[in-house]
Amino acid sequence: MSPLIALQGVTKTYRLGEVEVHALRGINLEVPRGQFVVLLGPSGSGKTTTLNLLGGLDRPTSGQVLVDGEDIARYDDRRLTDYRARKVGFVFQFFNLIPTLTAAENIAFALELTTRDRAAVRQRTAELLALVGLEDRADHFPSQLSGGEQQRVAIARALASRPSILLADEPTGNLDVETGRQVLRALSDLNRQEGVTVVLVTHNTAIAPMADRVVRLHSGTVASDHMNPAPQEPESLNW
Amino acid sequence: MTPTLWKKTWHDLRAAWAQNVALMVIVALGVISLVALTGAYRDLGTSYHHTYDTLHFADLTVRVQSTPADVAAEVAQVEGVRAVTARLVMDTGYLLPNGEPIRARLIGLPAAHQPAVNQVHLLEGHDLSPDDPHGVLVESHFAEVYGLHPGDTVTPIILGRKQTFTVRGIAASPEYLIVSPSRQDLLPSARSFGVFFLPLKTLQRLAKASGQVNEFCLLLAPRANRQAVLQRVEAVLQPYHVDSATWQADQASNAALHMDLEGYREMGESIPALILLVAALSLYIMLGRLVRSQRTQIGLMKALGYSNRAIMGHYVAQALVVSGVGAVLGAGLGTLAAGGITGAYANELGIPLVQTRVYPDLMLLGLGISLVMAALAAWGPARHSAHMRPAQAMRLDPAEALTRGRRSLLESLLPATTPLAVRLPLRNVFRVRGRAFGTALSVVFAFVLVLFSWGMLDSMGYMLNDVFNRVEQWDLMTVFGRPQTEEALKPVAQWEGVKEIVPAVLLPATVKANGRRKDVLLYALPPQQTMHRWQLEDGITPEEALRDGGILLTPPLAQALGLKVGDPVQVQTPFGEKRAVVRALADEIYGSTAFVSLQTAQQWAGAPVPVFNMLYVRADPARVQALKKALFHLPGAASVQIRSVTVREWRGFMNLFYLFMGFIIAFAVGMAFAVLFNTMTVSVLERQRELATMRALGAPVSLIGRMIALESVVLWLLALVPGLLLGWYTTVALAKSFSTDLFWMTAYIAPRSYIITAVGILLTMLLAARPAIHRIGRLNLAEATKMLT
Repeated sequence: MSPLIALQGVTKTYRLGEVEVHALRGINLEVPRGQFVVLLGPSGSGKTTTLNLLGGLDRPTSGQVLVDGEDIARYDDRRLTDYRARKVGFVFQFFNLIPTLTAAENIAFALELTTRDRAAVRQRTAELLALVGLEDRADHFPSQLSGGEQQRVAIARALASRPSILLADEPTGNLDVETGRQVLRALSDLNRQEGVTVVLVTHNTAIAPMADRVVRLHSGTVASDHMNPAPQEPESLNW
Repeated sequence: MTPTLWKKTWHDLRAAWAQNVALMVIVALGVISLVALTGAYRDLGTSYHHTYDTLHFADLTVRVQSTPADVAAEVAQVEGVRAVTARLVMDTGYLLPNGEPIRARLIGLPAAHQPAVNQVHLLEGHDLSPDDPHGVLVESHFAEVYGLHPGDTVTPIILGRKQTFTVRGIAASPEYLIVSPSRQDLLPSARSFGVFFLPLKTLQRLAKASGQVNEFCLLLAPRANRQAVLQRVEAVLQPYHVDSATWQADQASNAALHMDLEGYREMGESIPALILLVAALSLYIMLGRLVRSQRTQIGLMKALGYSNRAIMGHYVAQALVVSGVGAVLGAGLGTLAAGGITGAYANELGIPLVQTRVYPDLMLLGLGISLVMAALAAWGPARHSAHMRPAQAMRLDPAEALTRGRRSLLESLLPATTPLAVRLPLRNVFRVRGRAFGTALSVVFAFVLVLFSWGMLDSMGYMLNDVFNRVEQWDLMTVFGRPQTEEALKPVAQWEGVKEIVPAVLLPATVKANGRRKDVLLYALPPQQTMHRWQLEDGITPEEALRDGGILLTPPLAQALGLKVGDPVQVQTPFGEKRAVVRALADEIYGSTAFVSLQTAQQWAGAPVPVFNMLYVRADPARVQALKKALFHLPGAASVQIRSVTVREWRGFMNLFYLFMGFIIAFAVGMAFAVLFNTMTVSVLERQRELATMRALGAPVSLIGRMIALESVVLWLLALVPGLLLGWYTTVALAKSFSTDLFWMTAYIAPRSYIITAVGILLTMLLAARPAIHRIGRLNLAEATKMLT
């Protein structure tokens, strides 16, 4: 069976003034459907760049980014936008909720990008809020939610269009330990119950034990890649 | 500030170069308007005065009936009189080469030397000479219209006979900078009125007035008691019957120039004030936002040990640089524009002696206002940020990026099924109310700037088209140089193409009341006639208004004389001083006009049979030109006007006004664009992270573009009513200030102009948002989704 995600000889070079920064130096990585992958590495290792390329937020300098067998690096802006709307969900470190929309509306906004069926939007929004345990906070604006609640809304929003891939960039980076565990629980449940492929980027090694697979990046290359024979429950993690 | 902070100032300015350039443009436009309009106003005033001083423009002109020229010596002896020129002035006709008759004024001057008063400025050719009794000088406007040059011939009619003269030179005169036969003939009319200067003796001989003059032009001593001088001069000239005494301020050309200048003064004060106000508001909003957006940098600077003072200095310096550069550019361009406006105006009017200057006080004022505004705009937010604790300022707390969300009231008007892509823009408009108010206020100012410019154009058009055409229902108007009987005029009614005639009387008169006096043109008409339809106030009929010695005045005239309906007045006419009662006020385009009934005028004249000196004709349009020639050939006919030509000439005179207002409209639109561009750009920049997130979620740029466009529409709707109302009130105020007792402008804005303005502003807003929308399309989503401020 072909992998859901395949990075083939991907390089990414930035120019910072007169200096060239090689963020990725020919990475090869395959992720099968339904896997929970943690990308670990120190700052500058290339993990966020990898995530951005997978999410269609950036394009590689060379190489292929195959998702379901299609090279998204060759997509034009319109197709890339459509890819982001339907195929991937994003969870950001700083939640990135739209401050003028309520929790329910933040989710509905993402849904309205792919459907005009109002009833379907309402139903799916309610389902997602229930999934992240925030039914009673539906009408609260982000400024009225705690950090953990905001991140759970962000996760629900990321799942709005039933993406096959969920990309999370330091999702616990701005949360206390307890709230962080709640967010990781939500991601784990989604992966196990809904079969969503999760790629989580973190520099926090304490999170690694909950993943099916841990990929360590260093200076733009894959330093190690190993499977976790017995992933731990998020509640057992500590940092 | 340290050198590093100066470098940071420079880098910050470069980083936001587009917004800074737009701010500079706003400041520059404000200063340009101040320096250019006020400077041009001053230059024009200076040029007039320079021309008047150099050419010894008369302080007082006394018109008498035929008087021996040597009486001038007696007038010169009057205490307070500095110089006198006695001359013969004759209003007559002139036949153009195509046979079309027009009005002409012949002025007899000493041939051997320039007169002491009211000299002429030779532009081409030679002065008058005693050796060339049939050589004349042609006034420059007339010469320009008909392409006359030295050596050409001109053919005025003197006592019914066409006389041929050779043009010796082309000259400008301080009396005819605006060519107007009389104060009441407000319309400058170089096409239908020519002025010719010829040797006094020649004119006396041809007019059969040997040794006689009929006008004394006086220069008064600097501190002379003007009223006392007038009384003494009138006493000297009493035996020769004083027809009128006109002060320089009331002289036709000068009064029209004064009116024009007043209009410029208003514009020179109000438009820069308006534009500077908009610039101030815009600067305040933009700089405030810029400084607030640098909260984390301010925290870092504090953490590194920079003092609050240094930090505030840094941001105030940025504001001062932007504002200062804009102001300096504005001062330079404004000075050039002032010269351009003055040159165009002087050229159009034919002002011979133009003086343009650089006005450092205006430049410094513009610079000062701009710098103070900028400093105030940057000071508040910089002070607020600088007083935060460094840790607080630097904390990467996502909550700092959150504004408090709330539903907008406008949403309650929308159906429940309205998509979020529509609700979101509504909420965004009101998410920070102060900012929404500031932005809407910018749009309101844009409305005001554009609408009042259109309003002034409309008001002028309304006066020329609606009022003139509604009031004046005649097709031809003939004025006679000597009285006519009804019997003499009756045959005109039988001419081919003539539908109706109304004989009337037209007199120069002075209305006196409350110790004040105003020269007017007094029309005596039958109350029931329909050639001149009075626009009477309070629904009074013409019969009631003109009964029993009633006099009709215009509102500005009544105001100038302190009169109201029911008040008695004294009317000085060629038949002596008469009494009348103000029975009604009537709106007229010419402010210095009064009306009595024909019966009243006939009683005043005391002639055995009714006499007339004016004839209104309503005619078949196809016959108007032929009838003009025929009327001009009636015995004693002095002038014939065609109404449609008069309107056309007015429009021609208003070319400069239209040009000026066109400049203001372009200015207003440019200003509105710069303000809206900055507002929309900053508005988008502030939400970069949010918009990048939307794009990361899969929202296409087109959807975000539509949402921003919808925000613009909401802001536009908010500003629409106050903008249109304020625009209307500004037009009313400017029209009022543009009006004088001579010319009355009614504020009027055509429905079309409201629509053009409203749609134009909306399109400008949408256009101004395009760069910001384009920027969203080019956002680095990976970076922008991580931004916290």
